[in-house]
This record gives sequence, C-alpha cells and structure tokens, in this order.
Amino acid sequence: MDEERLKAILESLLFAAGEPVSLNRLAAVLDSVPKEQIRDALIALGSQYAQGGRGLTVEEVAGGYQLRTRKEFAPQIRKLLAGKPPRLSRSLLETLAIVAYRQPVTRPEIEQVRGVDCGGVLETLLERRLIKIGGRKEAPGRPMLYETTADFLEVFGLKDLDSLPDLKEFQEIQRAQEEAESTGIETVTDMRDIAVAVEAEGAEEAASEVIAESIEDAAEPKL
Amino acid sequence: MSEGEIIQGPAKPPIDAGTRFKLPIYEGPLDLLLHLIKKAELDPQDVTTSQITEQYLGYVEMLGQLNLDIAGEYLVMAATLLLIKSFALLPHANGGDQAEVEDLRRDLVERLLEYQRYREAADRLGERAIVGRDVFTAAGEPLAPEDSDAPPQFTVSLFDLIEAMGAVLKRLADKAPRDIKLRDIPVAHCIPRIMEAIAARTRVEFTSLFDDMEDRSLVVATFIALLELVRRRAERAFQEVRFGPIFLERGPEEVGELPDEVASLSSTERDGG
Repeated sequence: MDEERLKAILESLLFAAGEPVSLNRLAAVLDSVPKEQIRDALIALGSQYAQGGRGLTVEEVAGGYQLRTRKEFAPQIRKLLAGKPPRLSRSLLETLAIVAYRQPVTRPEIEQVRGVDCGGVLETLLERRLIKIGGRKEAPGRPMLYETTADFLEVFGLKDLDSLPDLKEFQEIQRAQEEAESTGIETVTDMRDIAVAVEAEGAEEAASEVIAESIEDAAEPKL
Repeated sequence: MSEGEIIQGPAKPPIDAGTRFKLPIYEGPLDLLLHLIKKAELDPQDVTTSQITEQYLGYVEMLGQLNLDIAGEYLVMAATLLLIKSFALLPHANGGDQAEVEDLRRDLVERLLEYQRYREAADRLGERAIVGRDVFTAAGEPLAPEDSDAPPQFTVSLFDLIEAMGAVLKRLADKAPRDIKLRDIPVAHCIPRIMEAIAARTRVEFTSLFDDMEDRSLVVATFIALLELVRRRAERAFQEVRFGPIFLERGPEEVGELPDEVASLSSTERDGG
C-alpha cells in the first residue's frame, strides 16, 4: 500500500475511534501492512500536521495513538463546546499523584503522605475513572488497593506509566526551570508587547492566535 | 442549566452562606508547614524552629477565632510541634526522652520532604496538556471488543457459577454461627449493590463479591441477583484460564426493570433448595 493511502486510512481510523488505538489494533484492521510501516506512516502523518500548521496532532497516549486538537486552540474550542473543563483541585492532583507513583496503594498509605483525610477525593477520582480498585491488600482489614486507569493516561497525555517523570528528578527539574526562567523572561516580555501593540491597533480577535502568527512572521504586526 | 453554572454567574457569591468552610488554601498541616517554611525562606529541615512553630500555632488559633472547622490533623501537628519545642527549652531533660524527640523531629522532616515530592509531582501533572481543558479528542465510537491479542476469555456456564457458589457456601458453613436466623432478603435489593461492586471498566473476582458477607441468606439472595444480571447481560462472567478463577465485569446491557417474578423473589424461598 502506498504511504499516502495508508496515512489517509490511519487518519480516518483515528478520527472515528473514541479512544486511543494501539498499534496492534491498527495492524489487525490493516491486515497485510507490517507494524513498522504503520508506525512510520503515523509519524509521517503527525509531522505533516505539524509542518502544515494544522489544527490537529497525532499523539501517542495510553498505549495507543490518538488525534488531538492543538493546545493553543483550547480557548476557542472551549467557547464552542458546552462542557466545562475538568476541575482539577490541588487535593485531587496530589492524591492522584500519590496513586500514580505508589500504585497499588491503600487509603491509609495515601493519607499518611498527605496528612489529611482522602476519602472524598478518592471517591471523586473513582467516579471520574482516573483510578480504580485493583484488589485488596493481604493485610489486616484487607484494605482496598487503588491504581490508575487507562483513562488517567489518556487524560494526562501519558504514553504509559513509565513516562511519568521520575520523582527524584523533581529538584533537578525545578532548578533547571528556575535557570530557564532567568533567561526566558525577555521572550515573555516580547510576547506581551506584541499583544499590547496588536490590541492598540484595534484588533479584537483572540490575542493568542495573533501572537502565534506574529511570532511565526518574525513579529511583524498584522492588520 | 446545571447548578454549577448558576453558581459561576458573575453576580452570585462563590459560596453559599451556611456552607461548611474547608480550610482555605492549605491542604492540611503538612501543606501549611511547607508554606510557612517557604515564606520564611527556610528549609524543611528547619521545621521545628520556634519561628515556624509560632506561626503555625498562630494560624490554627486564627482559624479557631474565625469559627472555621479545624480538622483534628492540625491539632495533632500543633501538639507535636509544641512537644518538640518544650524539649528544646528544657535541654537538661533526661537523655532517653531527648532521643525520642529527635526521632519525632526527624520523622516530621521526612514526612515534609516526602509530601513535598508528591506535591511537586501533582504540579507537574496539573501542567500537562489535559483532555477537556487543553486538548480535545474526537467523540468517536467505542472500539469493537479486542479478540486477537487480548488474553483468551472463556465464557462461564451456569454450572461453573453454581460450582463456584458451592465453594462460597462451604466457606460460610465452616464459620457459620450455630444459631440460625431466617432472614428475608429481597433479591431486588441486591442488584444495586452488585452493580456498585462491579464498577464500570473494572473486573471483580466472583468469590470477592461475597467476602464481607457472613449471612447465608444474603449470600443466596446476592447469588440469585447475580444470575439474573448475567442472564440479562448487565454483567458478564468469564475465566482467563479454564477452571481458573471466575471474573465478573459489566456487560453490554443496562439492568432495566425487573420482571415481577424476579422482583418478588427473596432468599428464604430458595434457601432450603
């Protein structure tokens, strides 16, 4: 099968599927095409989207591939759609992080780390299918063991659990970020200046869109 | 329009009067301590300096004055900090206790450091491109059940289920109390409990459904309810290995209304047979 046709089929499969589709599933649908070729075509499709400045991306999440909108268009999409963005409170994210890194983990173990009652948060996480009960611990009282779901990987855009950043690296990441901040301040100021300039000239459109274009066009003012 | 949207309207106050306040901003004593330490430009190692202890106690006291509902964990932490402080003020206390207090301090520092690691991990998670907030996917259709590379699943027959039930009943008989009470448990009542136990997208081992049940009538009623759910394909029973453990998961159908002959069933009618 020639690559253009393969890419088109893959694009339509990922568009129609309501969840990430694994390479195995794609290969099962396209029976005579080797997996390597499918993977290459997916990568080619992804870079085609990126180079063409299109609205979609091909992401590898939760053990499969998925078409997603580009992050920068979230404001416009949210204006269009009825649903509200998921509420991710501090307590929810903390509890989820502990489950993600320590799974399978019991409620007392989570509460020991956070120092507060986590019953309500765990209920919410279960309801939202970000975690599930994986079994019971062979310990007094046989407490339930919590673990993360495939939905968790999908929602947070993780390929698998191994792609969670290493806990120990956090101090280093933080240091690196602080360093980046000191060198990155200029860029941020520039972007704000552009936004101000554009607004001053009366453009009412979403600033982020204009900024993105302006940067690509070497900061030439539009209009 | 949902309730949430009404609350979010610009004219409305964010919280109704009468709402019980959760502690503002801080997620618990560890979070509060980390905040105070950071504000004082100190290190978690310095958690027991009197500056931090005083600020912590001041905050807890302020919460009391504001009539906020102070969680017990805040008070336990306050007591720990005060204990450590009192020993620092009395350096001549006997040596054994000093060592205990040093252990207490070290435990506290370790807990703070560990909590800090997970808090940073939580921040990283929150910064990711999140579906429904930052990125969006096609609503799409669910995939057909996988058949090729999934572990093979064997459908379980009625007789397999009854056999598994026999094992559960035998376990009960082994530890059953001598005085037998005849209880009348309607089968219809067991159905929501089963559906709850077997949450969507999870699977539950057949025997674990009966783990917490001591009462034979309840076990029997639950089993009859389960048979009905499997018959209606609201639940599915399968094995991954032939003669292996039986698992249950949500089936493709909804529970729907129960026909009268099932709704009126109760455990006593079947208990003898």
